[in-house]
Order: sequence, then structure tokens, then C-alpha cells
Amino acid sequence: MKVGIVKCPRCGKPSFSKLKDSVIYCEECRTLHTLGEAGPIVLEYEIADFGRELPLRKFHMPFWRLFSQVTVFSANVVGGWAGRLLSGGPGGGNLNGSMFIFVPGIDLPPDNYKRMAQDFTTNPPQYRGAERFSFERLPVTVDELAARKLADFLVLSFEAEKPGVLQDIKYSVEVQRTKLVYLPFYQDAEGRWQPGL
Amino acid sequence: MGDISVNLSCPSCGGAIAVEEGARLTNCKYCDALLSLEGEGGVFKTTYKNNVSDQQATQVLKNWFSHGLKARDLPQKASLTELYPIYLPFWRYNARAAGWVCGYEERRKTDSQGRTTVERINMERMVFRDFDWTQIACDTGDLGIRTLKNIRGEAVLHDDGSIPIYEATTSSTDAQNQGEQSVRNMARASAGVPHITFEKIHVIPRMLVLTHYPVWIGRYEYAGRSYFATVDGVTGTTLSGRAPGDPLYQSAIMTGGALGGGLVAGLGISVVGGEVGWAMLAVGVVIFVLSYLFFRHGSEILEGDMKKDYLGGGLGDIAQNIQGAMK
Repeated sequence: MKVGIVKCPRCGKPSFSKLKDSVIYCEECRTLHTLGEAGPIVLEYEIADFGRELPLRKFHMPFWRLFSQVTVFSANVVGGWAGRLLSGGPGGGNLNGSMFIFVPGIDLPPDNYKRMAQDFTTNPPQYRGAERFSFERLPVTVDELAARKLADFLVLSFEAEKPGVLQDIKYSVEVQRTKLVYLPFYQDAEGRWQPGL
Repeated sequence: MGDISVNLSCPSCGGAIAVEEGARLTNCKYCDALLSLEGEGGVFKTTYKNNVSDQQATQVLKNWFSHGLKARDLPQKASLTELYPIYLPFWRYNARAAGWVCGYEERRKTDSQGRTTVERINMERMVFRDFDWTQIACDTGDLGIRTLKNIRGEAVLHDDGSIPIYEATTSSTDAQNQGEQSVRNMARASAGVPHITFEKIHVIPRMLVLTHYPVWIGRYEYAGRSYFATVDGVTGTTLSGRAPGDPLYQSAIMTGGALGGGLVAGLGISVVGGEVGWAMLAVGVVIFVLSYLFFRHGSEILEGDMKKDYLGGGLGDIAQNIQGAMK
């Protein structure tokens, strides 16, 4: 096994961190990068500032934000016609078009993971950007390739969870741009997460 | 996946490194330097520590001799001729499956007049969970070990040459592909949709590791014939083995099976009747056939990942014989 010191691909400084993170943040030049098969990959990122104050511990939680073109060509759904009509027309609300899909970059229990992704995708967070990380940064454990697969899964989940029973669907999710967005979160004594926006 | 110790030091401060199994990046717990890790040929190797001594393995085998349908005098007459530990290579793959499986189930209903209708129940099932897959990475011949049942234990970084090992003969690429396919199959099966009209399951790999696992191999003789058994070097339980059967058990099971099977089938046909009666007839036949198979093949008891003719593995042979006879 080979062991090497990780250096920032932009300024060349060795990286130090207490975090076991799959992305590396350079404190010197604020570059964020990850190690790809062929070498370091610089990542685009944003840090969202806290929008409200709670007497709880603060964290920066990573999310992959995927700007995507979603097209649903056809869907064969049995039943649930009335429900779909009530929730926005015979299609039950249309996903077609460009959208930001938010995928958590950390490991969470599957139910929480999906709910958090759906909440931020349906209501994209509005935030004021911050220059630096002021609080603890949670490590990224879901890489970009996995995030792309999970974005596709989320789109399919939106369609499948509409009223009626899905039997077949033809759709595409074309990811055009990805960015890592650190959203502010509070964690309470029981370990539950609350958005800090 | 806990940290494992590595016989390497931090290039920045010289401190010992501990890494998470399968990780490509770690930090030094002494100086916080971020360190990249690269396995040989891109493969991360670990070894489980052997916790079982020679005496413990012998005792496990002696206990095993006296359990199950083996020859009753095996504990007294078996003579252990060889007992040694080896490390067997296994591929371990962990992945999260995320997807949907849609389709339907058909339910048959028969009314009081004997008319059967088929009801179609439409289904859409989400799969979003982690799966583990393991497979032996070499040919172990007739040892009867194909998968890793236990994935807990004290792991250390693999050190080539310090222990006797079976070399891996399958490539990491093949293992990755097989692991992905197996996880997809497990995810599909977990959805429980009998007739699939649509599915999309993403497999998100989290770890692929070549694990060397300690196994004790014991060879023994009984009535002039050689047999073997293997013991898990981490948990101290038997993994596989061949042992002589007992003619008394074979005869008793054949007699009991013929009686029980006949009784169930007879009750089903003559007393119960209807669909339940036919089902009882089928159950009776299965009981009889299984007891016959044990009578026919039960002279040798097999444990582990081996074809057990006496547990129905020979049903195919019987079907072939019947086909042959009909021709």
C-alpha cells in the first residue's frame, strides 16, 4: 500500500484536517478538491450563512446541487386519476424542465436522506453566501457520481409517489452542472437536524 | 466499518496510521496531515486476525462430530490426522441500492362453484438500502466454502508473506461487476414484485475489499475413509465438512417419511378434499421423496456450500431418471 501527503492542487500546500472527509479544503487558498482516479479534481462550492439563531450546535452540511434538465416522456399509471387531478392536473404536477436537485453529501438513514433531498429540491433554499467555514464542516461521504445516480432516483421517486400505481415510465435526467453547497444546520441533543436558514 | 491498523507510518510526522476499511483518504491522528491511500493494483486488502488456537479448533471439531445426523460412534472412532490454519481470500462488496420496481401480482381465487378468476394487483416498490455481497476469490475445490458468513472481526492490513494464504484467482474488475449484479438482484428480490413491468435500480458502490479470512482445515479418518471439516478462525464455529452418516438414521427417516407422507397424502385425498386436499397430497409426496433422498444419499453428511443430494439436490436426477424411463 502506498501512502502520500495530500497537497492543494492550486497552491501546493500540504493539507491538514481532523475530519475524515472525501473532499479536501485548503485553509490557505480556500480551494476544495477531491481525489479522482486520474488525479485531483477541483470542486465548485458555496457556503450558506446561518439565517436564524438557535441555542444549538452549528454545522455546515454538504449537499450536491445538480442543475438538471428533467424530461418525462410518458408514464403509465394505474388508478389515482382524481388524486393527480387535485394535485395539479392529470399529470399530478409536472416535473419537466430545468431544476436544481439537492442530494445530501453525507450518510443519513435512508428515510431521512430521501426526505431531506425532496424537501430542498421542491423548495430550493434561499441563502446569503459566506466567505469561510465558521463552524464544524460535516464530511462528504457521497461522491459526485453517486449524487448523479441519486438525483435520477429522486426524480423517479417524485413520479412514483404521485397518486396511482406507476407501471412504466420513460424519462431522462440530464445533469448539466454540479456544485457542492454547504447548508447551515443545527443539531439538537437527540441528534436531529434542523435547517439553519 | 471500523478503523484497521496499518504497518505504515505518516510521511509527515512518522506516526502509525489507522484507516477505515476501503478508504482512499485518511488523516494522521498525531499531526492531522491528510493522506492518500492506494492499494496494490487499486485493490485494498485486509486480513482478519485468527482468534482460534490449535486446541480450540480441535475441541470445535470434536463437538461437531457429536451433532446432527452423523454416525453415532464418530466422536469415539474419528481420528484427526491433520489440522492447520490457512487464509482464504474473499471479495467483499458493499453498495447502496436506490431504485423503483413496478409491476403486478396475480392472485387466483376459486369460488364455491369451482370457477377460478385471476385478480391483478398493481405494485410499485421503492428500494433504498445497503447490501453486502461476498464471494470466495479462489477455487477451494471441495472445501464447501463460497461466501463469507461473518463480516465482523478484528481486521488488520494485509501483509503478504507473513501467513499461508490461498492466492486470489479472480480479478477485482470481475468481482466489482459480479458484486454490482448481485446487489441489483438482491434489491430486485427485496422489492417482492412477481411480474415486473418497469425497474430502475442504481447501485452505488461503497467498498470493494479483498479480505483474507482465517480458516482451520481438519482432516480425519473414520472406518478407513478420509473426511474433513473446516472451522472459522474468527468465530470458532464450523463452516463446512463431510462426515459419515448412520444407517440407523437413514432407515428411521425413510420409514418415518413413508408413514408421515402417506398419512398426510391419504388424509388430504380421502378426508379433506378440494384444493387443500391436493396441496396435502403434494406435501405428502414431497415428504416421501425427501425421506427417500436421505435414505439414498445419507451415507455421507455434508455441511457448508455443497450440493446436498439428500436435501433435494438429487430431485433433478430423479426427474431425469423418470424422463429416461418414460422414453
